[in-house]
Amino acid sequence: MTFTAVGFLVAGMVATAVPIIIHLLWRHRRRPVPWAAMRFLLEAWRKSRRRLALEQFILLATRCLVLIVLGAALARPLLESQFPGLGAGGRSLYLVIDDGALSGLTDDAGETALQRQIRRAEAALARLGPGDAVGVVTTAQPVQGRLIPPSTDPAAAAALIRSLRPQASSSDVAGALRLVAEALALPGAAGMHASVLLLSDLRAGACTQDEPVPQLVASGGGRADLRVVHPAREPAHNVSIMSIEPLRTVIIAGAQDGSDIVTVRLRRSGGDLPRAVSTVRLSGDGIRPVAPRPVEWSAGQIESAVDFPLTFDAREDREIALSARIDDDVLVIDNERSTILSMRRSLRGALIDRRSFGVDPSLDRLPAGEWMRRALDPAHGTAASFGVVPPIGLIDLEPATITLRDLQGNDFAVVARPDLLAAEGWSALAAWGASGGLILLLPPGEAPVHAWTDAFRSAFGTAWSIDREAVTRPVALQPSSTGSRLLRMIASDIAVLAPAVEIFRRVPIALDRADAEVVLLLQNGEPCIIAAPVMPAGDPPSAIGRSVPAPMRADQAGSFTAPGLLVVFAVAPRLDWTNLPAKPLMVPLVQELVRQGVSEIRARVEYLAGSSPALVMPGASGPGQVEAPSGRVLPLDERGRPVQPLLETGVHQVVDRGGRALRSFTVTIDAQATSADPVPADVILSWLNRPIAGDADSPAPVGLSPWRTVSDQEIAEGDSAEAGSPRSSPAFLLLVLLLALLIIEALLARRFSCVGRGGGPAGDPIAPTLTARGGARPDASARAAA
Amino acid sequence: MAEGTTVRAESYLAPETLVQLAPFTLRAKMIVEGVMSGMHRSPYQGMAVEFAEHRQYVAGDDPKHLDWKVYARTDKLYIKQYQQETNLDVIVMIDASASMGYGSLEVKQGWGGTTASGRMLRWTKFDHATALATAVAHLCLGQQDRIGLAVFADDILALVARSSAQDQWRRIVNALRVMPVESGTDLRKVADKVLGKVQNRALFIIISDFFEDEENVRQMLARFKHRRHDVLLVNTLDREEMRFGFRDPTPFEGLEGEGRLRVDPRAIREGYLAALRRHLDAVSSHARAFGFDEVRVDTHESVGPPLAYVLARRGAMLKRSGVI
Repeated sequence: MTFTAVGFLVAGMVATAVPIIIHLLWRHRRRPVPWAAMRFLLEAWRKSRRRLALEQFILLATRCLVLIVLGAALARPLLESQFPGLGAGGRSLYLVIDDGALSGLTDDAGETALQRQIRRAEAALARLGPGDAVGVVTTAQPVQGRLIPPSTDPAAAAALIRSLRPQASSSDVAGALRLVAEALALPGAAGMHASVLLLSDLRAGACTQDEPVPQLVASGGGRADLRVVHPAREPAHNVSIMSIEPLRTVIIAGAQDGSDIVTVRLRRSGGDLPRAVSTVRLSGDGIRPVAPRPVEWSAGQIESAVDFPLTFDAREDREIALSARIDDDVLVIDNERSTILSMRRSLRGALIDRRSFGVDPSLDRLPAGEWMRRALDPAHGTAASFGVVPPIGLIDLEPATITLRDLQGNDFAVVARPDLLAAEGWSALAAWGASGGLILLLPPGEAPVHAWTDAFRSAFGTAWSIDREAVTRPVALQPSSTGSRLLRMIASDIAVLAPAVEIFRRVPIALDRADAEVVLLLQNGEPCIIAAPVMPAGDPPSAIGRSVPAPMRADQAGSFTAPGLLVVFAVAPRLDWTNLPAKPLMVPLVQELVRQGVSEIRARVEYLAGSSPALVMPGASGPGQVEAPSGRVLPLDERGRPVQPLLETGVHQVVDRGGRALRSFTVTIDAQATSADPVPADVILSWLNRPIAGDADSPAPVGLSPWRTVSDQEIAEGDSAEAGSPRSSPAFLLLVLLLALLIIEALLARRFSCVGRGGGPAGDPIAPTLTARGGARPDASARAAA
Repeated sequence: MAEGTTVRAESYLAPETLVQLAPFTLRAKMIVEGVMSGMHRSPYQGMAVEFAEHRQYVAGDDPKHLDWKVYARTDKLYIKQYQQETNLDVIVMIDASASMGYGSLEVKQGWGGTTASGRMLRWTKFDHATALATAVAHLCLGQQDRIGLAVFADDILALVARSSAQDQWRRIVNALRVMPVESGTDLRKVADKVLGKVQNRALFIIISDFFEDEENVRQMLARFKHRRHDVLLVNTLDREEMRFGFRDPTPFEGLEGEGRLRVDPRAIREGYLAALRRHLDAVSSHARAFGFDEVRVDTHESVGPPLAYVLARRGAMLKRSGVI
């Protein structure tokens, strides 16, 4: 026998102490009564002592039994019975329902996949007996145990299931099954017969199969019956917007730098893909209207992209929300996607270099910092003199005295004399870079030995290193592209301009690990320029190619903002190191490094629906809150995370306690989660049963059974596994027994307490003489006698 | 009532008790050997004033008792015989054992108070015995009889010599008022000692709860019978002892050192009442066997009616037997 709620049984057991405790307390509370006729009391007690003790014991045992039976009845015992007719029940049914993004997929009748699963769930609930319990787990991230531990109220469970709606987050079937496994391991589930029913279409987006499925074993010797509905086989042609990719996410107003091109990438899924046409619309505030662009799909074509040239109306610093939309199809939720661009009037940078006073040196003795200044501001101050804001503005900082305050407010910094930085300067530089700064680090051409590299590694904690001594063997630039995103817009120019560049001297950079990206290579294969992320202290560094451009996933939500970027030159841009400053490549190379570097740092910040990322630096400006597109407000906790997962897609706004907008970000659907490609049932079963089949060497745990598919009819009618294990719940019988015990207790209490014994002559009080003689009044008797 | 406080003896003699007892006289069943002229039959005949009977003259009789009128009418010699009446000696024996200290009736203002009631603030059986003795004493003194007091427990605790003085009842009350009620009981020993002090025949009124072994009671009564004394047993019981109406489980503690017993009163009531009833019937049976009167009184009732009842019954019985 097992119990659904063991706690009640334990409580009943413990409650048996109550009558005993009451009895003991009662003994101590009574004050003794002085009694003269004690010899008669003792005589009566000696004669009835055994009987009284037996009666008291029977009464106490009956009362204790009442409490135990009551606890056992409330504990809902389940009995493995061979006697049919006692009533089926006592199982725990776990419904794992897919309410992820793909659950909104509609069929020809207009019914969503989730509605079909709800119908199946209701059919399964209808099969439950009075002693059965039902648990509900939903797969949309974050996975939620909606009804865990299982409840014996199927009506409440049905109401809960009917209230489910498709979520924007992806499905995590493995995570949901882990939750069920944890529920099965709870003490209350020991020895229970559990049945798990996975209700999902199990299309490719809902069933990534990249995570292992846990073993579902009922603890305490119970059995777990694992069933999954047949995976959807019908094609469902779904077009998803995979991404919106602007060439630059930081737009400098008025600059003709090609940042007005936005690429919208589409993907088709759902089985046999016919010829089709999709229409893509792009809109946003601060841009001029853009005509819709058709996308013609050939048969079988999966992916496509369409470019939109944009013209920005805005001229001031602001954030522009772009929204791309396609025609509604079988899945509506992935037909719109948003991103955020940053509009800037100009970029601001700091040139950290030792300033020279007096007569300007000749070109052949011009320091690297000055060459960088000229590359960043080719007009050499002419625009400023005409009152025009230059696209890139520079301030000069003394390397020996820089502080974090000096660096704040700048988009980038060019460190031309790292050999002059003090330890505090390195710390300030690293901290500023970690907070989202772009650092261009040049080797000092004046230094014969580069001892500064030790302080550099200490400050930035890089795994790669820069040699202390320069190499003077000439080498040329490699014209082929390295694939770096920083130089992708001038990749073709590099192929033409790079052969003319010669390197006379360089500081070799040793890249032992792939935690930095090569931006520009030398002919001998050594890096000429590398880029590496500058992470906040404590965060592990990651490759720039993975961390910055890709949308942040829920599991990457630890960084509250994009990390900084460190671009290191192996060559000092001065004529005694290289002829690069005098070549046409110099200006576009430096300009692109700065513009694209800032864009990458300020790249669109996207979070997946269902995540709870850290949105502000802890304690930076108070808790604050997040405003969703629908106007819903989510407060932030002390760690800067929303108190509930982000479930709406679109542009969100982070505001502080004073209502001041701090930043914007977008919440998007995981593009992979909307893939409607059907997955064969054998693939699904192979994945689900992998824990069993893959562990063939060790014996399978007791009660472990393989997953099997069931049809709607089997769900509605119940399957053989259910019928083969008749279980009865004797709770009703226990309640009847409880009632009988209560009646017996009342009768015994009345009998033993002599309420019913007073009727006999022996129970009559003894009368004095006069009362015994006729019952007349004493004085009347006296007068009559007289 | 607190010990040591002054209690007027009259508080034990309620007016209604006097009224209830006024029509009655205490008659001795046997012939008593009083020293004064009174209302009781004396064993000494011929010298009193009350004519008893005639008998034929026999040689040796005093000729002065010849009834000459009868001789003149019948020519036969008859002697006139007279019944001499004398006074009665009444000795009230009161049990002062610890069991007499029980009472369940709350003492009210104006009631008498003894050491027993002062301790428990309840009208104890000993208080009731005191009231009974006071009423009897007042009754006896009213008919010129002598009355004395013996207070006993496991021995004679106090004695008040017999007297017919009008304030004798006050002396009795004063003796009882300060009497400790805390010892055990030994009826046979007490009977032997009391009988050793009384030479003439007397009426003993024993007021006790008789919570003693029945055999001891029988042997005590046998001693009194052997000495040809008259005995009136007044069995004094508290109403709660006769009803045993407790309901909740209660620890009972014996007043005479029987220890403590924790029982459910409702469960044991039947057995208790049966045992008590059996004991009381045995006491009554022994009393009747020796020809003594026995009356059972309830301490919650007035003392007048039961006393009046027993006096009336004795008078009626004597009248039926032609003694008076």
